[in-house]
Amino acid sequence: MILIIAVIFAVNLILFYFGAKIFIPDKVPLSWNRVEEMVLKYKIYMFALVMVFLLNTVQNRFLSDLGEAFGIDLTPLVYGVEGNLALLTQYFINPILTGYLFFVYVFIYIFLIIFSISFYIYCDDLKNVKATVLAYFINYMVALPFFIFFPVYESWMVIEGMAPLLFSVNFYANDFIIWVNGVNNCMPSLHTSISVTVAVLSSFSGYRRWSVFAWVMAISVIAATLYLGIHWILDVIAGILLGVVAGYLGYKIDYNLELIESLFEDIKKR
Amino acid sequence: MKGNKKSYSGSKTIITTFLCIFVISSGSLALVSGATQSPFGEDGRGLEINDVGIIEKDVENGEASLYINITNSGERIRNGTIVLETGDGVVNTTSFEVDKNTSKGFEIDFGFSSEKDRLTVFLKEENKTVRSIGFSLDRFPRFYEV
Repeated sequence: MILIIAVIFAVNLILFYFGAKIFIPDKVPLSWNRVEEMVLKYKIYMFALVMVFLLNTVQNRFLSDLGEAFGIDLTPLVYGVEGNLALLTQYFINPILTGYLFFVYVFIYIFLIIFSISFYIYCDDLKNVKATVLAYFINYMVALPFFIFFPVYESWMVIEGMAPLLFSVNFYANDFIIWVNGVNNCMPSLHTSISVTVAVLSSFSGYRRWSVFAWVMAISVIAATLYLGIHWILDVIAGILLGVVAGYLGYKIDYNLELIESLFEDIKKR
Repeated sequence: MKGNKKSYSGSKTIITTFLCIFVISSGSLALVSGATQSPFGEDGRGLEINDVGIIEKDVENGEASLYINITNSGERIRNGTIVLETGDGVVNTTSFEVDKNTSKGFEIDFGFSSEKDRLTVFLKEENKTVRSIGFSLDRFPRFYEV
């Protein structure tokens, strides 16, 4: 487990390095001083985001068992509606494609989540920092009750002929994936919704290179969730809808975090 | 003119980025992959692990049962073996035969020393691993049926 977390961290460091080189506009200088300056400036938003991620972790670790015990299993309904449709995505199974989509599902997804907010913070783009924090919050808040009360099991566990490709690539990663995702947090697909949210916000942001990358990777993440035998078509549709709505609302709604800011000031004074 | 040049250079950078991500990720992961099945076999897809999960687990006595469903999508009868491996080595080997375009389920009992043991399931055909899946026993998904 520690090994795979270390690998994810190292790969993300490398991706961050290239991301910074490629996507940060020429007019914004690359320096550690700026990193420190921006981290201090946006600490409230970073704190809010950490809280959102913690909430998600608590849900995955403790509340998903509640779903298994008390939730209404929606898997038969989803299977009844779409049948074996998701199986079509595994019509052509190829080790290289499996490797690429595994990389996208595990590494690029995490990179999209963390890099997008870091990118806007580094570029001192308050509008997009606010939009990203709120959009992530909406995504998790909408998905959480579904995961707890209406669990849907992964497609490989139900559809005949659907291979659990996600778990056939790297054994050390499997325990980590199960630990983070569980096997019944399918509806809506959070991989899809968060990736689409990042892509939608990138379109609003006006950073063209970043936007092209975010959209291509969002589409890759969607393909990965289906091909690897995790999500159903309905999960993905719900995820796309949630991602678009969360991204749009995140961008359109203005807010401030004065309460957290005053809390920080109080702690500082003491 | 200058603007066009910059835009062209930007497109080149991003295409290079995508290509690098694709080549490095797919190449390196395919090397360590348990997903070794070739799509260019004699009749396309053949044997595949369709479903797998723990049915029963007795931690005190170190005994458990695994359900595994094998699908043969090919156009001929296929033979293979299911090999279960834990930290103690190979704990069970089961031979099977599956008719063309059908699935077959198996219940396999096995022993283990600790719940922290990793259980790896190998699906083999002609001694070549077609698919392999592994989890720690305490995280191995339970068998689920709609």
